[in-house]
Amino acid sequence: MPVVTASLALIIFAAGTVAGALGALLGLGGGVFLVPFLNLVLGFPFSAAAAISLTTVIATSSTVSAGRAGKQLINMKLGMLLEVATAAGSFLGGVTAQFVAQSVLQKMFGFVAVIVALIMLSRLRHRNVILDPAADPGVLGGRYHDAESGCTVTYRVKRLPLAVAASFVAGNVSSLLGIGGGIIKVPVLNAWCGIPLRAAAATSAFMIGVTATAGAVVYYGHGLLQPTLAAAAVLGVQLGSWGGMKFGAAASTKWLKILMAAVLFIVSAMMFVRGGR
Amino acid sequence: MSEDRTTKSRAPLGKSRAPLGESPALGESPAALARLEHVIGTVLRGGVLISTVCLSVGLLLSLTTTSDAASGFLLNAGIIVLLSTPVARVIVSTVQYVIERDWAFATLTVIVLFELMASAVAALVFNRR
Repeated sequence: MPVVTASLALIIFAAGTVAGALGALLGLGGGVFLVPFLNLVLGFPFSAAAAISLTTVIATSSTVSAGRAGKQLINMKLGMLLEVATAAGSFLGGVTAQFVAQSVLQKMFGFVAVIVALIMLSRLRHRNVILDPAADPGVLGGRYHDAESGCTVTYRVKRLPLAVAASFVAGNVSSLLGIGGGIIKVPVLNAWCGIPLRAAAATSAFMIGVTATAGAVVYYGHGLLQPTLAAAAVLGVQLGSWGGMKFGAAASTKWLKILMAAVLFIVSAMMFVRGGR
Repeated sequence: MSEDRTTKSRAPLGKSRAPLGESPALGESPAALARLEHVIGTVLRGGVLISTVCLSVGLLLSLTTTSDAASGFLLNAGIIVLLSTPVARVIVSTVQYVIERDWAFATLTVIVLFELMASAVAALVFNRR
């Protein structure tokens, strides 16, 4: 564990700000950027990086969801249903993470990042088609006002078992790798379950707080969470996600998808290089 | 221009939800949903505010002074509040679903609470080693 100094805390604060801004824009939670930075750039042990990252992921989820609550963008019912799967996965991941070697976790991180990047690119032109404009969203579907098009968007949830399975895997990967898990859920919910990207991202960010808590508690109990550095990272991420939210509503979804994929390819390559040593 | 060609209608929010609300099996009325979103928003904002204050003051103290006790307490308090915020959000959701007699979702949120408790138990087991 690195020695805590004022300059290290400042570096982590800045990294948190960038990660938080990107995370809020992409609906990822920021951990996917913070873990590689702490692990690859600053040389923290993977588990210490994951513990700090999970803490910031919780802060992002709470901040972003508090700002979005009341706008119907978060699909509360779907979120609460999928949390059952994601919290179970996260709990199991948090426990197994204590016994897995760092190089294995790094390769897993690289693998997960590249898979998701490929999914995002292959689904760039995919559109959700609902034929009936007056469609009943059902118990789990949703309806929200889209600021970008000025329309009311209605959607129905398709392939629920797939959404549940993806949430379990996302929870598991979340606490193993210290990321939010939106990296897995958002593409699956968007591409295969009929949920518009904005609603998928908002619902995922909402669930991530519970997911990351189930994992972070285990790291905290294990003494892997350095409080001073976690505080610096959390405060940075708070600032960044606040900025990202201000700017995020105006960004186009296609641009978001391309940016997301590009970042994931870079992170993946770095993790494979480091994990392969 | 939107990427997702989902159904779009110009109908005002909530109006076309009326048939949904009439069916008790489907539960959730727009008013109940708005109430739940409001309560959840308040809980999340409160947790974020308290933890941010604790972490900011704790971080400043730990970097500027040598009093480890005060900064350590504030930093850990901030982290514990941060970790508790999503748990509190699940608890108020459970309460809200029970008030609405939406037993299916009340049960689901209780299961999530049990899973979070299992994590806390695992944390204590690790801590003892």
